[in-house]
Amino acid sequence: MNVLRIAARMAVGGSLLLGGVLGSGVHAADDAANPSLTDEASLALANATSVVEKAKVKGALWTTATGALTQAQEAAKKQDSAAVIQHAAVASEQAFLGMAQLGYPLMGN
Amino acid sequence: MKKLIWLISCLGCLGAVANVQASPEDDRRSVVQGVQKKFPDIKFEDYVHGALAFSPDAKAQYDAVMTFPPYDAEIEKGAKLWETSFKNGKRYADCFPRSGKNVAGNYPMFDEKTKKVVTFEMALNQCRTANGEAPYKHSDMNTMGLLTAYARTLSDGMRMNIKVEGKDALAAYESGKRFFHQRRGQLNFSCAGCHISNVGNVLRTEYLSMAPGQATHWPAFRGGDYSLFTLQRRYAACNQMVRLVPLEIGGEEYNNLEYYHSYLSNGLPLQASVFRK
Amino acid sequence: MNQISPTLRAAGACVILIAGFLQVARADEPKAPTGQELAFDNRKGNCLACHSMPGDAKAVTSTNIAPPLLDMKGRFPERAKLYAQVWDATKANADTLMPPFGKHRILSDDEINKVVDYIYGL
Repeated sequence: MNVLRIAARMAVGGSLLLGGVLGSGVHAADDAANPSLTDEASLALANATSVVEKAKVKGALWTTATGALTQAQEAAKKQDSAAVIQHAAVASEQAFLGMAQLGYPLMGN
Repeated sequence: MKKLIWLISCLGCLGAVANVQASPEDDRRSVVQGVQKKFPDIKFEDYVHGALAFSPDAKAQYDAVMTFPPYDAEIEKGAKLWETSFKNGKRYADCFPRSGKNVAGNYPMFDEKTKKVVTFEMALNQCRTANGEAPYKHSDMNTMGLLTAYARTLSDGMRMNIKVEGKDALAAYESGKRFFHQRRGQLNFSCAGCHISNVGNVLRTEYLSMAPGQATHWPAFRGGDYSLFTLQRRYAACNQMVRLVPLEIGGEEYNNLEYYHSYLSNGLPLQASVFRK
Repeated sequence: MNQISPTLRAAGACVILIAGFLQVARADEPKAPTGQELAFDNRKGNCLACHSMPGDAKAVTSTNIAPPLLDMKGRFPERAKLYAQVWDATKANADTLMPPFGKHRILSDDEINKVVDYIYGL
Protein backbone atom coordinates (compact mmCIF):
# COMPACT_ATOMS: atom_id res chain seq x y z
CA MET A 1 0.00 0.00 0.00
CA ASN A 2 2.96 2.24 0.64
CA VAL A 3 3.91 1.96 -3.01
CA LEU A 4 0.43 3.02 -3.93
CA ARG A 5 0.62 6.11 -1.72
CA ILE A 6 3.93 7.16 -3.21
CA ALA A 7 2.58 6.63 -6.69
CA ALA A 8 -0.45 8.72 -5.88
CA ARG A 9 1.74 11.47 -4.49
CA MET A 10 3.84 11.39 -7.62
CA ALA A 11 0.73 11.66 -9.73
CA VAL A 12 -0.35 14.73 -7.78
CA GLY A 13 3.19 16.15 -8.00
CA GLY A 14 3.24 15.47 -11.72
CA SER A 15 -0.01 17.22 -12.36
CA LEU A 16 1.13 20.16 -10.23
CA LEU A 17 4.27 20.32 -12.32
CA LEU A 18 2.22 20.15 -15.52
CA GLY A 19 -0.11 22.80 -14.15
CA GLY A 20 2.89 24.97 -13.38
CA VAL A 21 4.27 24.59 -16.90
CA LEU A 22 0.94 25.31 -18.57
CA GLY A 23 0.27 28.14 -16.14
CA SER A 24 3.53 29.90 -16.95
CA GLY A 25 2.71 29.56 -20.64
CA VAL A 26 -0.62 31.29 -20.14
CA HIS A 27 1.09 33.93 -18.05
CA ALA A 28 3.64 34.67 -20.81
CA ALA A 29 0.81 35.05 -23.29
CA ASP A 30 -0.80 37.59 -20.96
CA ASP A 31 2.43 39.57 -20.82
CA ALA A 32 2.78 39.62 -24.61
CA ALA A 33 -0.58 41.31 -24.86
CA ASN A 34 0.74 44.07 -22.61
CA PRO A 35 3.60 45.71 -24.47
CA SER A 36 5.69 47.27 -21.79
CA LEU A 37 9.38 47.12 -21.00
CA THR A 38 10.92 48.64 -17.91
CA ASP A 39 12.22 52.18 -18.45
CA GLU A 40 15.74 50.91 -17.98
CA ALA A 41 15.30 48.30 -20.72
CA SER A 42 13.72 50.78 -23.16
CA LEU A 43 16.56 53.22 -22.59
CA ALA A 44 19.21 50.52 -23.01
CA LEU A 45 17.62 49.42 -26.29
CA ALA A 46 17.39 52.99 -27.60
CA ASN A 47 21.03 53.64 -26.67
CA ALA A 48 22.26 50.46 -28.31
CA THR A 49 20.30 51.25 -31.48
CA SER A 50 21.85 54.69 -31.76
CA VAL A 51 25.42 53.56 -30.99
CA VAL A 52 25.14 50.75 -33.56
CA GLU A 53 23.91 53.27 -36.14
CA LYS A 54 26.88 55.55 -35.39
CA ALA A 55 29.35 52.70 -35.84
CA LYS A 56 27.67 51.74 -39.10
CA VAL A 57 28.04 55.25 -40.52
CA LYS A 58 31.76 55.10 -39.69
CA GLY A 59 32.14 51.73 -41.43
CA ALA A 60 33.24 50.31 -38.10
CA LEU A 61 30.26 48.16 -37.15
CA TRP A 62 31.09 44.67 -35.94
CA THR A 63 28.78 41.80 -36.83
CA THR A 64 28.78 40.94 -33.12
CA ALA A 65 27.21 44.32 -32.35
CA THR A 66 24.39 43.83 -34.88
CA GLY A 67 23.92 40.26 -33.65
CA ALA A 68 23.50 41.42 -30.04
CA LEU A 69 21.16 44.25 -31.10
CA THR A 70 18.96 41.75 -32.95
CA GLN A 71 18.83 39.59 -29.81
CA ALA A 72 17.86 42.65 -27.76
CA GLN A 73 15.07 43.46 -30.23
CA GLU A 74 13.83 39.87 -30.08
CA ALA A 75 13.83 40.02 -26.29
CA ALA A 76 11.88 43.29 -26.45
CA LYS A 77 9.19 41.56 -28.52
CA LYS A 78 8.92 38.98 -25.74
CA GLN A 79 8.78 41.75 -23.09
CA ASP A 80 11.85 40.27 -21.42
CA SER A 81 13.38 43.41 -19.92
CA ALA A 82 16.29 41.61 -18.25
CA ALA A 83 17.33 40.01 -21.54
CA VAL A 84 16.90 43.31 -23.39
CA ILE A 85 19.28 45.02 -20.96
CA GLN A 86 21.81 42.20 -21.20
CA HIS A 87 21.90 42.06 -25.02
CA ALA A 88 21.72 45.84 -25.46
CA ALA A 89 24.77 46.23 -23.21
CA VAL A 90 26.74 43.81 -25.40
CA ALA A 91 25.58 45.58 -28.57
CA SER A 92 26.63 49.00 -27.24
CA GLU A 93 30.00 47.75 -26.01
CA GLN A 94 30.80 45.97 -29.28
CA ALA A 95 29.77 49.03 -31.30
CA PHE A 96 31.95 51.32 -29.15
CA LEU A 97 34.90 48.93 -29.49
CA GLY A 98 34.44 48.98 -33.28
CA MET A 99 34.59 52.77 -33.36
CA ALA A 100 37.59 52.87 -31.00
CA GLN A 101 39.35 50.45 -33.35
CA LEU A 102 39.54 53.19 -36.02
CA GLY A 103 42.10 54.83 -33.73
CA TYR A 104 44.36 51.77 -33.53
CA PRO A 105 47.77 52.10 -35.23
CA LEU A 106 47.85 51.03 -38.89
CA MET A 107 49.37 47.62 -39.66
CA GLY A 108 52.22 46.63 -41.94
CA ASN A 109 53.54 50.13 -42.48
CA MET B 1 51.25 84.26 -28.82
CA LYS B 2 51.88 80.89 -27.25
CA LYS B 3 48.96 79.58 -29.22
CA LEU B 4 50.42 80.95 -32.43
CA ILE B 5 53.80 79.32 -31.81
CA TRP B 6 52.00 76.07 -31.06
CA LEU B 7 50.02 76.37 -34.27
CA ILE B 8 53.10 77.11 -36.36
CA SER B 9 55.04 74.19 -34.88
CA CYS B 10 52.07 71.95 -35.61
CA LEU B 11 51.97 73.10 -39.20
CA GLY B 12 55.69 72.40 -39.37
CA CYS B 13 55.08 68.85 -38.19
CA LEU B 14 52.40 68.37 -40.81
CA GLY B 15 54.77 69.62 -43.47
CA ALA B 16 57.42 67.18 -42.34
CA VAL B 17 54.92 64.31 -42.44
CA ALA B 18 53.81 65.30 -45.94
CA ASN B 19 57.42 65.41 -47.10
CA VAL B 20 58.27 61.93 -45.93
CA GLN B 21 55.00 60.49 -47.26
CA ALA B 22 55.82 57.80 -49.79
CA SER B 23 54.59 58.17 -53.36
CA PRO B 24 52.27 55.48 -54.74
CA GLU B 25 55.17 54.15 -56.79
CA ASP B 26 57.35 53.91 -53.66
CA ASP B 27 54.52 52.04 -51.92
CA ARG B 28 54.12 49.59 -54.77
CA ARG B 29 57.83 48.97 -55.12
CA SER B 30 58.29 48.34 -51.43
CA VAL B 31 55.37 45.86 -51.32
CA VAL B 32 56.67 44.01 -54.41
CA GLN B 33 60.20 43.95 -53.01
CA GLY B 34 58.87 42.49 -49.77
CA VAL B 35 57.49 39.53 -51.73
CA GLN B 36 60.62 39.21 -53.88
CA LYS B 37 62.87 39.14 -50.84
CA LYS B 38 60.86 36.41 -49.17
CA PHE B 39 60.19 34.38 -52.34
CA PRO B 40 63.00 35.09 -54.80
CA ASP B 41 62.07 32.03 -56.89
CA ILE B 42 58.52 33.15 -57.68
CA LYS B 43 58.38 35.17 -60.89
CA PHE B 44 56.72 38.60 -60.75
CA GLU B 45 54.28 37.55 -63.49
CA ASP B 46 53.12 34.63 -61.36
CA TYR B 47 51.87 36.95 -58.61
CA VAL B 48 48.58 37.00 -60.53
CA HIS B 49 48.04 33.41 -59.37
CA GLY B 50 48.01 34.51 -55.74
CA ALA B 51 48.13 31.68 -53.22
CA LEU B 52 48.49 29.17 -56.10
CA ALA B 53 51.98 30.54 -56.69
CA PHE B 54 53.13 28.88 -53.45
CA SER B 55 51.66 25.46 -54.15
CA PRO B 56 52.37 23.51 -57.36
CA ASP B 57 49.64 21.01 -56.40
CA ALA B 58 46.98 23.67 -56.08
CA LYS B 59 48.20 25.30 -59.30
CA ALA B 60 47.89 21.95 -61.16
CA GLN B 61 44.33 21.60 -59.86
CA TYR B 62 43.61 25.14 -61.02
CA ASP B 63 45.04 24.47 -64.47
CA ALA B 64 42.81 21.40 -64.76
CA VAL B 65 39.69 23.43 -63.91
CA MET B 66 40.73 26.19 -66.32
CA THR B 67 41.09 23.79 -69.29
CA PHE B 68 37.30 23.45 -69.48
CA PRO B 69 35.88 25.93 -66.99
CA PRO B 70 32.60 24.47 -65.70
CA TYR B 71 31.19 27.99 -65.50
CA ASP B 72 31.63 28.83 -69.22
CA ALA B 73 27.86 29.10 -69.64
CA GLU B 74 27.85 31.94 -67.11
CA ILE B 75 30.43 33.89 -69.09
CA GLU B 76 28.25 33.28 -72.16
CA LYS B 77 25.34 34.92 -70.34
CA GLY B 78 27.61 37.89 -69.70
CA ALA B 79 28.55 38.01 -73.39
CA LYS B 80 24.87 38.16 -74.28
CA LEU B 81 24.39 41.10 -71.89
CA TRP B 82 27.41 42.84 -73.43
CA GLU B 83 26.26 42.27 -77.03
CA THR B 84 22.61 43.19 -76.57
CA SER B 85 21.82 46.69 -77.88
CA PHE B 86 20.21 49.30 -75.65
CA LYS B 87 16.75 50.58 -76.60
CA ASN B 88 18.39 53.44 -78.48
CA GLY B 89 20.39 51.02 -80.61
CA LYS B 90 23.77 51.81 -78.98
CA ARG B 91 25.90 49.13 -77.32
CA TYR B 92 28.43 48.90 -74.50
CA ALA B 93 31.19 48.67 -77.08
CA ASP B 94 30.27 52.20 -78.23
CA CYS B 95 31.08 53.63 -74.78
CA PHE B 96 34.72 52.49 -74.65
CA PRO B 97 37.83 52.96 -76.75
CA ARG B 98 38.76 49.95 -78.93
CA SER B 99 35.15 48.74 -78.51
CA GLY B 100 35.98 47.80 -74.94
CA LYS B 101 39.15 45.81 -75.67
CA ASN B 102 42.12 46.39 -73.33
CA VAL B 103 40.42 49.00 -71.18
CA ALA B 104 39.78 47.34 -67.79
CA GLY B 105 43.43 47.73 -66.72
CA ASN B 106 42.93 51.51 -66.68
CA TYR B 107 40.29 51.17 -63.95
CA PRO B 108 39.74 52.32 -61.30
CA MET B 109 40.64 55.76 -62.62
CA PHE B 110 40.26 59.11 -60.91
CA ASP B 111 37.73 61.53 -62.38
CA GLU B 112 38.88 65.12 -61.86
CA LYS B 113 35.38 66.48 -62.58
CA THR B 114 33.55 64.57 -59.86
CA LYS B 115 36.70 64.20 -57.72
CA LYS B 116 35.82 60.54 -57.33
CA VAL B 117 37.31 57.18 -58.16
CA VAL B 118 35.54 55.51 -61.11
CA THR B 119 35.63 51.72 -61.20
CA PHE B 120 35.07 49.69 -64.36
CA GLU B 121 31.65 48.73 -62.98
CA MET B 122 30.81 52.43 -62.61
CA ALA B 123 31.91 53.06 -66.21
CA LEU B 124 29.60 50.26 -67.38
CA ASN B 125 26.73 51.84 -65.45
CA GLN B 126 27.58 55.29 -66.86
CA CYS B 127 27.31 53.73 -70.30
CA ARG B 128 23.87 52.41 -69.40
CA THR B 129 22.52 55.67 -67.96
CA ALA B 130 24.03 57.75 -70.80
CA ASN B 131 21.96 55.59 -73.14
CA GLY B 132 18.75 55.81 -71.20
CA GLU B 133 19.00 52.53 -69.31
CA ALA B 134 18.66 52.05 -65.56
CA PRO B 135 21.97 51.35 -63.78
CA TYR B 136 22.67 47.89 -62.40
CA LYS B 137 23.25 47.36 -58.70
CA HIS B 138 26.96 46.79 -58.12
CA SER B 139 26.18 44.01 -55.67
CA ASP B 140 23.94 42.13 -58.13
CA MET B 141 25.96 39.23 -59.49
CA ASN B 142 23.18 38.22 -61.92
CA THR B 143 23.49 41.48 -63.83
CA MET B 144 26.61 43.51 -63.06
CA GLY B 145 28.57 40.41 -62.03
CA LEU B 146 27.78 38.48 -65.21
CA LEU B 147 28.33 41.53 -67.41
CA THR B 148 31.86 42.00 -66.01
CA ALA B 149 32.52 38.25 -66.26
CA TYR B 150 32.54 38.79 -70.00
CA ALA B 151 33.46 42.47 -70.40
CA ARG B 152 36.65 42.10 -68.39
CA THR B 153 37.83 39.14 -70.48
CA LEU B 154 38.16 41.62 -73.38
CA SER B 155 41.12 43.02 -71.43
CA ASP B 156 42.83 39.68 -70.75
CA GLY B 157 46.57 40.13 -71.09
CA MET B 158 46.46 43.91 -70.65
CA ARG B 159 48.83 45.15 -67.94
CA MET B 160 47.31 46.88 -64.95
CA ASN B 161 47.88 50.58 -65.51
CA ILE B 162 46.46 52.64 -62.64
CA LYS B 163 47.38 56.32 -62.49
CA VAL B 164 47.39 58.53 -59.41
CA GLU B 165 47.89 62.10 -60.56
CA GLY B 166 47.09 65.27 -58.66
CA LYS B 167 46.22 66.05 -55.08
CA ASP B 168 42.64 64.77 -55.11
CA ALA B 169 43.58 61.47 -56.74
CA LEU B 170 46.33 61.08 -54.15
CA ALA B 171 43.84 61.72 -51.34
CA ALA B 172 41.56 58.95 -52.69
CA TYR B 173 44.56 56.64 -53.00
CA GLU B 174 45.65 57.44 -49.44
CA SER B 175 42.16 56.74 -48.15
CA GLY B 176 42.22 53.33 -49.84
CA LYS B 177 45.70 52.68 -48.46
CA ARG B 178 44.48 53.52 -44.99
CA PHE B 179 41.60 51.06 -45.34
CA PHE B 180 44.04 48.34 -46.44
CA HIS B 181 46.20 48.85 -43.35
CA GLN B 182 43.43 49.58 -40.83
CA ARG B 183 42.42 46.86 -38.38
CA ARG B 184 38.73 46.06 -38.67
CA GLY B 185 36.14 43.75 -37.20
CA GLN B 186 36.06 42.05 -33.81
CA LEU B 187 38.92 39.77 -34.89
CA ASN B 188 41.10 42.85 -35.45
CA PHE B 189 42.65 41.94 -38.81
CA SER B 190 43.67 44.21 -41.65
CA CYS B 191 44.25 43.38 -45.31
CA ALA B 192 47.93 44.30 -44.89
CA GLY B 193 48.39 42.17 -41.76
CA CYS B 194 47.88 39.04 -43.84
CA HIS B 195 48.70 39.97 -47.43
CA ILE B 196 51.76 42.16 -46.83
CA SER B 197 53.21 41.20 -43.43
CA ASN B 198 52.43 37.47 -43.62
CA VAL B 199 52.51 36.85 -47.35
CA GLY B 200 53.20 33.19 -48.21
CA ASN B 201 52.60 32.02 -44.65
CA VAL B 202 49.95 29.41 -43.98
CA LEU B 203 46.76 30.27 -42.12
CA ARG B 204 45.69 26.85 -40.76
CA THR B 205 45.72 25.20 -44.21
CA GLU B 206 45.67 28.12 -46.69
CA TYR B 207 48.57 30.13 -48.11
CA LEU B 208 48.20 33.89 -47.78
CA SER B 209 48.45 35.48 -51.24
CA MET B 210 50.59 38.50 -52.08
CA ALA B 211 48.84 41.85 -52.48
CA PRO B 212 50.37 42.60 -55.91
CA GLY B 213 48.38 40.60 -58.45
CA GLN B 214 45.27 40.29 -56.30
CA ALA B 215 43.32 42.86 -58.32
CA THR B 216 44.08 41.33 -61.73
CA HIS B 217 41.73 38.34 -61.99
CA TRP B 218 38.18 39.47 -61.24
CA PRO B 219 35.48 38.50 -61.30
CA ALA B 220 36.31 35.01 -60.10
CA PHE B 221 34.19 31.87 -59.84
CA ARG B 222 34.75 30.57 -56.36
CA GLY B 223 34.41 27.36 -54.44
CA GLY B 224 32.63 24.09 -55.15
CA ASP B 225 29.59 25.85 -56.59
CA TYR B 226 31.58 28.37 -58.66
CA SER B 227 29.85 31.40 -57.12
CA LEU B 228 30.54 34.59 -58.99
CA PHE B 229 32.52 37.16 -57.00
CA THR B 230 33.47 40.63 -58.17
CA LEU B 231 36.49 42.10 -56.39
CA GLN B 232 34.30 44.22 -54.15
CA ARG B 233 32.07 41.29 -53.27
CA ARG B 234 35.29 39.62 -52.18
CA TYR B 235 36.08 42.63 -49.97
CA ALA B 236 32.64 42.28 -48.39
CA ALA B 237 33.17 38.55 -47.75
CA CYS B 238 36.58 39.22 -46.20
CA ASN B 239 35.15 41.92 -43.93
CA GLN B 240 32.36 39.55 -42.87
CA MET B 241 34.94 36.90 -41.94
CA VAL B 242 36.77 39.24 -39.59
CA ARG B 243 33.35 40.14 -38.13
CA LEU B 244 32.90 43.56 -39.66
CA VAL B 245 29.52 44.42 -41.19
CA PRO B 246 30.51 44.79 -44.88
CA LEU B 247 30.46 48.26 -46.38
CA GLU B 248 28.47 49.09 -49.49
CA ILE B 249 29.59 47.29 -52.66
CA GLY B 250 30.13 50.13 -55.15
CA GLY B 251 30.37 52.68 -52.30
CA GLU B 252 33.17 55.23 -51.97
CA GLU B 253 35.19 53.39 -49.29
CA TYR B 254 35.46 50.19 -51.33
CA ASN B 255 36.10 52.21 -54.51
CA ASN B 256 39.05 53.96 -52.87
CA LEU B 257 40.27 50.64 -51.52
CA GLU B 258 40.10 49.16 -55.01
CA TYR B 259 42.04 52.15 -56.34
CA TYR B 260 44.97 51.59 -53.94
CA HIS B 261 44.71 47.81 -54.18
CA SER B 262 44.74 47.88 -58.02
CA TYR B 263 47.71 50.26 -58.05
CA LEU B 264 49.70 47.57 -56.21
CA SER B 265 49.07 45.29 -59.24
CA ASN B 266 50.44 47.76 -61.79
CA GLY B 267 52.48 46.05 -64.50
CA LEU B 268 50.81 42.67 -64.03
CA PRO B 269 48.63 41.08 -66.74
CA LEU B 270 44.87 40.86 -66.30
CA GLN B 271 42.91 37.64 -66.66
CA ALA B 272 39.22 37.77 -65.83
CA SER B 273 36.81 35.03 -64.81
CA VAL B 274 39.26 32.58 -63.34
CA PHE B 275 38.59 29.86 -60.79
CA ARG B 276 39.45 30.41 -57.14
CA LYS B 277 38.96 28.18 -54.11
CA MET C 1 -5.18 -5.07 -8.22
CA ASN C 2 -7.61 -4.33 -10.99
CA GLN C 3 -8.89 -1.31 -9.12
CA ILE C 4 -5.56 0.31 -8.46
CA SER C 5 -3.95 -0.32 -11.77
CA PRO C 6 -5.37 2.80 -13.55
CA THR C 7 -3.91 5.01 -10.79
CA LEU C 8 -0.60 3.26 -11.05
CA ARG C 9 -0.64 3.61 -14.79
CA ALA C 10 -1.33 7.33 -14.51
CA ALA C 11 1.45 7.70 -11.96
CA GLY C 12 3.81 5.80 -14.20
CA ALA C 13 2.93 8.05 -17.11
CA CYS C 14 3.64 11.08 -14.94
CA VAL C 15 7.00 9.71 -13.90
CA ILE C 16 7.91 9.16 -17.54
CA LEU C 17 6.67 12.62 -18.36
CA ILE C 18 8.75 14.21 -15.60
CA ALA C 19 11.78 12.19 -16.60
CA GLY C 20 11.23 13.46 -20.13
CA PHE C 21 11.17 17.05 -18.94
CA LEU C 22 14.37 16.55 -17.00
CA GLN C 23 16.04 15.05 -20.02
CA VAL C 24 14.95 17.93 -22.24
CA ALA C 25 16.28 20.38 -19.68
CA ARG C 26 19.60 18.60 -19.63
CA ALA C 27 19.82 18.47 -23.43
CA ASP C 28 18.99 22.19 -23.71
CA GLU C 29 21.75 23.14 -21.34
CA PRO C 30 24.87 23.03 -23.59
CA LYS C 31 27.77 21.06 -22.24
CA ALA C 32 30.46 23.59 -21.31
CA PRO C 33 33.34 23.22 -23.78
CA THR C 34 36.78 22.27 -22.51
CA GLY C 35 39.84 24.45 -22.95
CA GLN C 36 41.03 22.23 -25.78
CA GLU C 37 37.66 22.47 -27.54
CA LEU C 38 37.70 26.27 -27.21
CA ALA C 39 41.26 26.39 -28.53
CA PHE C 40 40.41 24.28 -31.61
CA ASP C 41 36.97 25.77 -32.40
CA ASN C 42 37.32 28.17 -35.33
CA ARG C 43 34.44 30.27 -33.97
CA LYS C 44 36.13 30.59 -30.59
CA GLY C 45 39.90 30.50 -29.91
CA ASN C 46 40.84 29.20 -33.36
CA CYS C 47 44.44 28.91 -32.09
CA LEU C 48 45.29 26.41 -34.84
CA ALA C 49 44.82 29.06 -37.53
CA CYS C 50 48.18 30.52 -36.49
CA HIS C 51 49.81 28.18 -33.94
CA SER C 52 50.86 24.57 -34.21
CA MET C 53 50.77 22.45 -31.06
CA PRO C 54 53.44 19.76 -31.37
CA GLY C 55 52.47 18.43 -27.93
CA ASP C 56 48.87 17.58 -28.84
CA ALA C 57 48.41 14.88 -31.49
CA LYS C 58 44.82 16.04 -32.06
CA ALA C 59 45.94 19.51 -33.12
CA VAL C 60 45.91 19.33 -36.93
CA THR C 61 47.24 22.40 -38.74
CA SER C 62 49.82 23.40 -41.35
CA THR C 63 50.26 26.93 -40.05
CA ASN C 64 53.57 28.72 -39.67
CA ILE C 65 52.33 32.20 -38.79
CA ALA C 66 52.98 32.38 -35.05
CA PRO C 67 55.30 30.50 -32.67
CA PRO C 68 54.34 26.87 -31.95
CA LEU C 69 52.67 26.44 -28.57
CA LEU C 70 55.14 24.34 -26.64
CA ASP C 71 57.05 24.62 -23.37
CA MET C 72 54.52 27.23 -22.33
CA LYS C 73 55.47 27.00 -18.64
CA GLY C 74 59.09 27.64 -19.59
CA ARG C 75 58.20 30.58 -21.82
CA PHE C 76 55.63 32.04 -19.43
CA PRO C 77 56.75 31.25 -15.86
CA GLU C 78 54.01 33.62 -14.73
CA ARG C 79 50.63 32.34 -15.81
CA ALA C 80 49.26 35.90 -15.58
CA LYS C 81 51.57 36.98 -18.42
CA LEU C 82 50.18 34.27 -20.67
CA TYR C 83 46.66 35.30 -19.70
CA ALA C 84 47.50 38.93 -20.57
CA GLN C 85 48.91 37.83 -23.92
CA VAL C 86 45.66 36.07 -24.84
CA TRP C 87 43.61 38.99 -23.48
CA ASP C 88 45.35 41.59 -25.67
CA ALA C 89 48.49 40.59 -27.58
CA THR C 90 48.79 44.03 -29.20
CA LYS C 91 50.07 45.39 -25.88
CA ALA C 92 53.31 43.46 -26.19
CA ASN C 93 53.52 43.78 -30.00
CA ALA C 94 51.54 46.52 -31.74
CA ASP C 95 51.79 44.81 -35.15
CA THR C 96 50.70 41.33 -34.03
CA LEU C 97 48.06 39.45 -36.01
CA MET C 98 46.69 37.85 -32.83
CA PRO C 99 43.12 38.94 -32.02
CA PRO C 100 42.70 40.56 -28.59
CA PHE C 101 40.42 37.84 -27.21
CA GLY C 102 39.61 39.58 -23.93
CA LYS C 103 39.67 43.23 -24.93
CA HIS C 104 37.28 42.58 -27.84
CA ARG C 105 35.22 40.04 -25.85
CA ILE C 106 35.84 37.32 -28.41
CA LEU C 107 36.08 34.96 -25.43
CA SER C 108 34.72 35.48 -21.92
CA ASP C 109 37.16 35.65 -19.00
CA ASP C 110 36.07 32.16 -18.03
CA GLU C 111 36.77 30.87 -21.54
CA ILE C 112 40.18 32.55 -21.64
CA ASN C 113 41.06 30.90 -18.33
CA LYS C 114 40.14 27.50 -19.75
CA VAL C 115 42.19 28.09 -22.90
CA VAL C 116 45.15 29.32 -20.84
CA ASP C 117 44.92 26.27 -18.56
CA TYR C 118 44.95 24.06 -21.64
CA ILE C 119 47.86 25.69 -23.46
CA TYR C 120 49.78 26.05 -20.21
CA GLY C 121 49.97 22.28 -20.16
CA LEU C 122 51.51 22.14 -23.65
